[in-house]
Amino acid sequence: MSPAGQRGSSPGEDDAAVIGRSLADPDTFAVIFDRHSPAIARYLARRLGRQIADDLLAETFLAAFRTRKQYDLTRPHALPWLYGIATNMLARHRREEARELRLLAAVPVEDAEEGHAERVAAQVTAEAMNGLLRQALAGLADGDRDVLLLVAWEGLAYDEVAAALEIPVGTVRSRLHRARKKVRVVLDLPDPATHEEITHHG
Amino acid sequence: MDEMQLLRELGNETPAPPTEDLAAARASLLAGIAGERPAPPKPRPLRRLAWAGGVAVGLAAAAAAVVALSPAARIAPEPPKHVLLVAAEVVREQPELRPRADQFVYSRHQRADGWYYEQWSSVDGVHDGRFDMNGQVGTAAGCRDGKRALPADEGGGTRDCLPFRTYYPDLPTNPDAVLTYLREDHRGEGNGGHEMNIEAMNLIESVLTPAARSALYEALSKIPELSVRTGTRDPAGRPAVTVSWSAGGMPLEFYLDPATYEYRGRDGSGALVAHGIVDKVGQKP
Repeated sequence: MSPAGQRGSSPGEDDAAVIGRSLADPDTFAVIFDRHSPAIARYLARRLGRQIADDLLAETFLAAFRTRKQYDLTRPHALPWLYGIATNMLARHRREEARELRLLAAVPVEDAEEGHAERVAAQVTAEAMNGLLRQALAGLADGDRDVLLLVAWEGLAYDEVAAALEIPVGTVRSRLHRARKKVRVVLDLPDPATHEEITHHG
Repeated sequence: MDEMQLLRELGNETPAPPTEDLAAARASLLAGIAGERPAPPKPRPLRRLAWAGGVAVGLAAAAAAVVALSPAARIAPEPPKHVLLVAAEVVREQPELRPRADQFVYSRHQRADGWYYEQWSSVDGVHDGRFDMNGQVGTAAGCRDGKRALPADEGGGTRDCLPFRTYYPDLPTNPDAVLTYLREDHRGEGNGGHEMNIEAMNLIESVLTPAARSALYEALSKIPELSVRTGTRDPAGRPAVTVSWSAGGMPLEFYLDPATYEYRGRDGSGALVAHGIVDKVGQKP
């Protein structure tokens, strides 16, 4: 777990302590906002564009505030929990997200079939590659995309993604594996897993 | 370069938002918090004020959300509730306190922000108690001959009353009898709008015989709307078992010491940081 280093910090200072205090003293919850709103705002903006993200940011933290009694106080770091709530908020905007991704996909993706994608990849500019990436993301199943982006963009560890989305770690792994594979196909990148499998079985 | 690296670069194109862009969301959050914050506790002579922080707000609303406890509702305890059965065993062995009728139970609750609530509650509910709510001092009038004096700011005069005791040597020691007791009206409010969780909270904060406290905890373990969490902390940051009434419009949550299962505070009022039995109001143990 990447935030595990914070486990050793003084017990009065971690997120769980703050959330615990906020049960009796609701205003304390603003501390959670101040600590984590930049990360959550950026996550929402990455996924939905700045405009919708601005609205969802307040909704996310209000939902967190209202459900803080259910927060597992044995988890000192609240970011995975907040990412989970933000991802639930995103679920209401799947359509906007798909549109955002498609709009931003700069390359004429209808041509991005296998042979052509290969040629595109060879001369690709960073922007065109990003367009392909967005197209690939738009084509993922919602749950697969959630896992992939929490890992790639937000840097969450597998068990943190599992906690955020309330799914088993094994499901995180399988969704990530599937998502990465689909993205590689769209980008026409080699599949490192094939090599690993061959090595493993060989 | 693999797809994860490409994705990270794509993500990095969205910069972290500047703090001023977060201000609007922060203001919305604070407004939402203010909307749900319990109203400042108002001194009321009729109630045991240690509860005011979290309870006064919902008295009317919760009348519509009375915990229904038909015999059919007494389902087997869910796993976390076994903690209450353990607690029932532990408290049964605790020494018995026997305060005199003319004594007072002193308690001090304190929240993390420094707000405190100190009170001297009459053991028999007949004598005048006192409270100090964060510097605001007042008298909790006792109930004598069925009448309680009202403070001047509530118009003065008297009101019909039942004494609010803080010592219940006569409470049943059988869990089912305690459940029956919790459903009954002991404050002259009538059974219709009676709130069982408030009655239970009242008892938890009071002086009970070890056998009665044991029966009370066992009775709580039978209430479906109640949830128990271990590994939590009380408002003072001490390890705690947290007991919550999860259903209905009335928020109620209190904390027990995870070793002794003594009452350690409640949501709204804060952590119980001092308590004991004294002879006069104003005295501290």
